[in-house]
Amino acid sequence: MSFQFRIDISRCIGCRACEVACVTANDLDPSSARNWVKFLEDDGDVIGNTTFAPYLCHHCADAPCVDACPTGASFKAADGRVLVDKDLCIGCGLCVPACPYEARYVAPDTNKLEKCTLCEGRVENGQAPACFEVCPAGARSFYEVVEIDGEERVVSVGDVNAIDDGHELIALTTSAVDPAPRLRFSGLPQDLALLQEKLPPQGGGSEASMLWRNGFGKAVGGLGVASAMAMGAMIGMRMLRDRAEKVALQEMEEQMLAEKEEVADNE
Amino acid sequence: MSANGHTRREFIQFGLAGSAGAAASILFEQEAGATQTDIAHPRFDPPVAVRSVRSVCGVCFWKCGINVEIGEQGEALHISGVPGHPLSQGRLCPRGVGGIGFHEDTDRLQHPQIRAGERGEAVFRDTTWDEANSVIGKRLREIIEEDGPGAVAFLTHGAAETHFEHLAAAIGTAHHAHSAYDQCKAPREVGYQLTFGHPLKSPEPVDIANTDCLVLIGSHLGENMHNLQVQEFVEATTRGAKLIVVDPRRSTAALRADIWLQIKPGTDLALLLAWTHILIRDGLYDRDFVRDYTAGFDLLSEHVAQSTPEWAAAETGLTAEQIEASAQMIGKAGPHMALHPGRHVVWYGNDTQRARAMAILVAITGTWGSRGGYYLPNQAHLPSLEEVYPDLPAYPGLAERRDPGYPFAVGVNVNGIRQATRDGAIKAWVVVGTNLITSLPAQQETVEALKKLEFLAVVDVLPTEITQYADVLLPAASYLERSDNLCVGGSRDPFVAVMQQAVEPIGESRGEAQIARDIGAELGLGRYWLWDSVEELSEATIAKYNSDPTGGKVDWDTLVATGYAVTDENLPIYRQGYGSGADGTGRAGAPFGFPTFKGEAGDDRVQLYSPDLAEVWLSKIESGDDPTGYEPLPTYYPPRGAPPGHVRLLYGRSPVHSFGRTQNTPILHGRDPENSVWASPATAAAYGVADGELVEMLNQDGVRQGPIKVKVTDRMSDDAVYITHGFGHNSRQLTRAYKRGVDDSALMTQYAVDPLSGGTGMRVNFVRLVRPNSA
Repeated sequence: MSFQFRIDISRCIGCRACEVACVTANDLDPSSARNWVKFLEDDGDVIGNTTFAPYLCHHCADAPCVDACPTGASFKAADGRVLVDKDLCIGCGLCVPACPYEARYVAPDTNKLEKCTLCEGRVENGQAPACFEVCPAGARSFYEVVEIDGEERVVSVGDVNAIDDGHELIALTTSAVDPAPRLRFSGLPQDLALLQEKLPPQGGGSEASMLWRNGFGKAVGGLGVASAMAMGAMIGMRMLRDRAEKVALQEMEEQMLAEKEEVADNE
Repeated sequence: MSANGHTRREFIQFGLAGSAGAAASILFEQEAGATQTDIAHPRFDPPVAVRSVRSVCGVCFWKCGINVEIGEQGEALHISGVPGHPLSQGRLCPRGVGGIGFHEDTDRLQHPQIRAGERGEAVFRDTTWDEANSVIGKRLREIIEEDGPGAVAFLTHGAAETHFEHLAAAIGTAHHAHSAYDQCKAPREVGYQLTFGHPLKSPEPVDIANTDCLVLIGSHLGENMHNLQVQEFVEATTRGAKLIVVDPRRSTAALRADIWLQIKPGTDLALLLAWTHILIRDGLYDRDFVRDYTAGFDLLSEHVAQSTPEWAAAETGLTAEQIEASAQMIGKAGPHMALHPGRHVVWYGNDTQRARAMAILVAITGTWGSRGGYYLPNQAHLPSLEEVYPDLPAYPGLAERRDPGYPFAVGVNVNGIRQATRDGAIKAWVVVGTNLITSLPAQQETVEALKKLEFLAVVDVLPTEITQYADVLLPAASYLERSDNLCVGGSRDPFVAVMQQAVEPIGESRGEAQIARDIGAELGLGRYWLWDSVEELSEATIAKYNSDPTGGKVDWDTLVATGYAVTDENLPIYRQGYGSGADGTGRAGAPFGFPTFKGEAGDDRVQLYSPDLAEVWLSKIESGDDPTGYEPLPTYYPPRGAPPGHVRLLYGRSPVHSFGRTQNTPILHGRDPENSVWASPATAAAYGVADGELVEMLNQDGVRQGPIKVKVTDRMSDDAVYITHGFGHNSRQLTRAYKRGVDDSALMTQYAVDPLSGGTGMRVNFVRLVRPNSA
């Protein structure tokens, strides 16, 4: 079972009900921003093209935030969700700049990583995630991909509009940056063009992600495997509480050793 | 490959080559078959709902269906929509879902209070409900004995105001008014009634879902979030319906428009007359409808003969080409064109005439009762109180409610009550759920009236500005914390909805139903309450409704479980031949007709030329009074210009907020904590201010408000600035909202009263932007 979700940016009217629904459904601090709506404008013309751009964590199949986490707190669930183990998370923030979509942040009130969880509890209950459910513009659709009679079928979840209007769907990727995001966008061509131009990974980007790409990443990388592993292991060890987490760390370590051997073998 | 489905290679490469040997070995027993993904990682899971309650949202007047999800401790966790609800179809606006914050706002009024300082100082002492009710009863009784029941006025707003309507009627005062009338829709109610003989129902029956062309004049749908209309607006424009938006500002709606007309404020009537001229000139009107159902077409034609596109271009600042193109777009849609009548139409003091011009266009295009135009709404008719309780004592007789100064207004007028209070004719107010300080223009007049009163009782959920003047201040339970009346909205399908308590009231707050009843008891009027609770009243009403053999049936248990019940489906909503589908038969055949406004026999047509207005107009001329504004056909007068160095102050809504009531709500405050002032690049340059800079706004009478951030944007015209309403709160007890942003109503020291409806036009103030603490 896995999920697909899409947002039609040309339907969005920027009302931000999705932002509010996320805060209430997940009992968050009012300043939380697990999803958000941006307003994008053409820089050129006096009164140029504009679009609203709602988005959230893309729950990538190849999530770089999972790789970047030193404790294993950032993980991928079997159903495709990219999630955070709240006990393993130490709030180091290394994963934050790893996300090409700027979907992660460390919450000041909990010092833990905050991001979209695709409302697990609600979905298990047959409802769509809160932001998908509320949208009065019908801009968001959420589907489960389930197996029925041996066949993969897409079924809509909750009472969310199905946007089966034949519009082109795009993903926000480039040739250099493609973490296999699950989120797709549709809309008018000029709105999609603005989306690709202005949003990361192509356009703009916050200071944090620029730091990652230019300097910060190299700085951390220079620590070396041993110290990185040692650091990770030490940090991880402090967080271990039960066998389950111990196994997770051991598996990660074994995996890395195995791959190192593989690299060594190939040399 | 790791069990996650991707390699660790990147991590290793990132960690750089060359291992210095493994770190201290961490050997643990490996559980067979365990993978990282199978392990139960403690998630950031929010509490899970164990049950839910269906109810009606009370944050604005739209009354969307809500599903309140409740946790194990009885706490409200989340509010979601109710699938299929006729006004909301399972979706909510930001306030519908954020309204949970009303229950969590620690600034809520929690105890009855009695004034212990001067009026306006907000100095109170806590008291008991018994004492509070007793004081109210005593003071009102004294005033009624001395000056009669008419000396007491009720100013109310919200779903629960019917309880105070009942109390006012039982007392025998006709002075019960709503800001929702003369500070909002009065002009369009009167304008449409003068033309069609019907007031427009609320919500207005605009068939946006099916329209071929939607026309918005001064309506910022998409920033105002009238739920079903917003949904239909997005659906219609997405499927290709044309959109024309008339607004000095490039609103959210204007961003989606096929034609955006950046009109000069105050000149809308010129545009409407030019459109009428073009449609008649080119024969782009519904000849059959005009012939069969209207009167005065020849007079109308003659009247708009001079209203050429060139003339209108000079007045409005638009080009003749734009006016022609938009008229053609309207004409092309034929009877499937939706001209939205707008809300909050109190702008310049000529607003009823503007509404008349819009009603005239609706009539000659044949869009009344047509698919994609105005549908003919159905509304469930619940039995009245007297029908449910035949033993209910008759109310005492009331004096004529119509305010004599406004010959066509329906009902008593808030501004009129304010004036009568300043004149000393009204001595006591009971204010329920309406922050008159910011809903009325000219705060100085409101404060004068408040200070002159002999007695003021205020009922509210939050310590808003009006509460600061109360003699007795009563804490109301929010809509989530009480059960209340049945609602019957006008829509395509008649339905009944029920408001049901979801969570416990906070502190000592109580529902208005009980508050009204207790005050009634203090006044010796207990005999007017033949029900013990509002739930009992609702059940009895449904039982009576079901007892009518000709009507529909509502199952009470289903109503409670679902929150609403449609009483009849697929009723006709269009006139014959103008329904949905290619042959026009879908949902067609609704009865329709046009009663005369004053009941004159034989004159049952749409009055393009208004004989009712002609009568008043002629009598004014004969008696030597100024007849301006009473013309039987809408007549354009140019708006007053800005004083030198000033620009017009325009205002509107943020989608995250309802009026001035949500700026303190924890979650909604977080999304939109303060307003900013939109200024065009030219305006900003003229005032020497830059984007993001803090400024103060100084109006034509020297009233100063601020600081507020400037938002320099080419979406704003050069002749005005724009802010969203409801900010700049002045009540310290609103700890989040206090002094955040600017209060637009404080800058509205001037207002223009529409002579036909009494509506208080508020877009007649001008401001300039100055650096803080400078002149």
